[in-house]
Amino acid sequence: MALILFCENNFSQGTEEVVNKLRDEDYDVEVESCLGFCGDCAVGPYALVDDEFIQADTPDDLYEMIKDYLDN
Amino acid sequence: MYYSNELSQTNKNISGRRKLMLDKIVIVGNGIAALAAIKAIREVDEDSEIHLFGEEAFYPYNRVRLSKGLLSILQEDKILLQKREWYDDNNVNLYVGSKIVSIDTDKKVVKLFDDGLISYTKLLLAGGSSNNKPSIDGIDKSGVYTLRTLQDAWDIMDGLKTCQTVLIIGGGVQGLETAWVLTQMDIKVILANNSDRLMRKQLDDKSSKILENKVAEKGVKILFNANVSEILGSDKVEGFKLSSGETYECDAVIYSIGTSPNIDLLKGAPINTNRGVIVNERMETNVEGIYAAGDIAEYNGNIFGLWNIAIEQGKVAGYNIAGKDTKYKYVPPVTTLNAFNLSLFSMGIVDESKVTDTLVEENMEENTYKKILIKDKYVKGAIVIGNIRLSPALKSAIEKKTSLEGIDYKNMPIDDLIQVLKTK
Repeated sequence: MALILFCENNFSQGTEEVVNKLRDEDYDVEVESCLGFCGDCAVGPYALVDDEFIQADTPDDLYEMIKDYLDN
Repeated sequence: MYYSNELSQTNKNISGRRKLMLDKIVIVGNGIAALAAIKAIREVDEDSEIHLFGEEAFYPYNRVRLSKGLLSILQEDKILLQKREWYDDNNVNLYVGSKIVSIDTDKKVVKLFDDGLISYTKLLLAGGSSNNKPSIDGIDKSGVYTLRTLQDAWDIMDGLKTCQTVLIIGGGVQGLETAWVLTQMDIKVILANNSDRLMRKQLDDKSSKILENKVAEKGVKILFNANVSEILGSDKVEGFKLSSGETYECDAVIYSIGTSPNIDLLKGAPINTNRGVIVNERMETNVEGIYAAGDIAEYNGNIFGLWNIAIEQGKVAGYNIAGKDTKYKYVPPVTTLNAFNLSLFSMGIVDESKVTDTLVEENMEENTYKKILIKDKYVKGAIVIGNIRLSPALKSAIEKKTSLEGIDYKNMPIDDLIQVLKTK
């Protein structure tokens, strides 16, 4: 199963709710203290899915983009 | 203000065979290194006293957000590192607006700005760094700013309300991010860079040129090899002069030319310093019970001033403070920039002369660039501009030291190589 990584510093961009939704759906989700993408972390929601960088304008968009990635 | 120098909590273990005295941990500085340390301490030890001192009037906040957030209204509550209740929940005594000015390592006390004394059994120095101030005539004039604190950000936004042209001194990440924000506010920006290209430490010639093109496209006037020698104006900024003699008009100046560790409070204390506080792999200083982490710490001659490294160092310091023996593992520095409609990723070694193989794919028209630097079959560095979607795989390969043995990496597209790396 794909590993989905979130940065806890990115929670202020609303990504905690994406974490919770994905965990409720039993996806393999981990939250790290820092993923090292600080320049992007500070401007919007993002996640790393299977070592790929996925960034969106809103947490809802991020959720959809992650789901799209996982479904394809 | 006076704080008891007696330990307020002691405890006897149930067996009675030995007395267990709880630590009183004092943390100087309340940035990300301090908070990472507290999380590590609380993983191991829920009971010791933690006293967290910050100089600023705010709850600990995310400093990285400042330059990116200038366009919006930066509110303290929206950029907090932790919710306000987190400190009570984790049994942390937080003191804001409380600068520590000196340390007495014999008496094991720190002194506050108001002469209050705080005792400690263990001390973590996590006071970060300050922006270097250029030695330029007129640098103290009204209208000269730098961005380090939330108050600085508010002052800049207030001061720029009536400005038409702003000089930014420094072509690093913060200078560029600030320039990007100002161009979006329709402020004319002049960027004075003291070297011959932007982000010299993180980019090579070609990637720097791509960045330069995008910055110039947005109307920013870039002055290379520019040494600002004087800020002009009576009391308020009216312009500036270069050492070459050229003069320009501007209404404000923002400088970002690097940082220096805040080690002033160590004057007279027997704690070894160089540029920063010298620490070993456990983040211990030369004085027993005193640790340092983050921008203030100098490890192996390096001060990185980077968020992810501050977190790692804070974590290591925290575990060791709590008695869990932990060593710092080198974290390769990563720089990402998201500005001027460009995404940029740079990591590890970017100097070709230090590696054995270099793979490059570039499209200057589309402003995309990928470069992988390899030494003895290991990826040692990378630069990606454009689509940075695959950059985490490069980061993993560098961090995990993934071997390229058996991969015909010289004869495959970079994206295909990255896909192969992902399977390793």
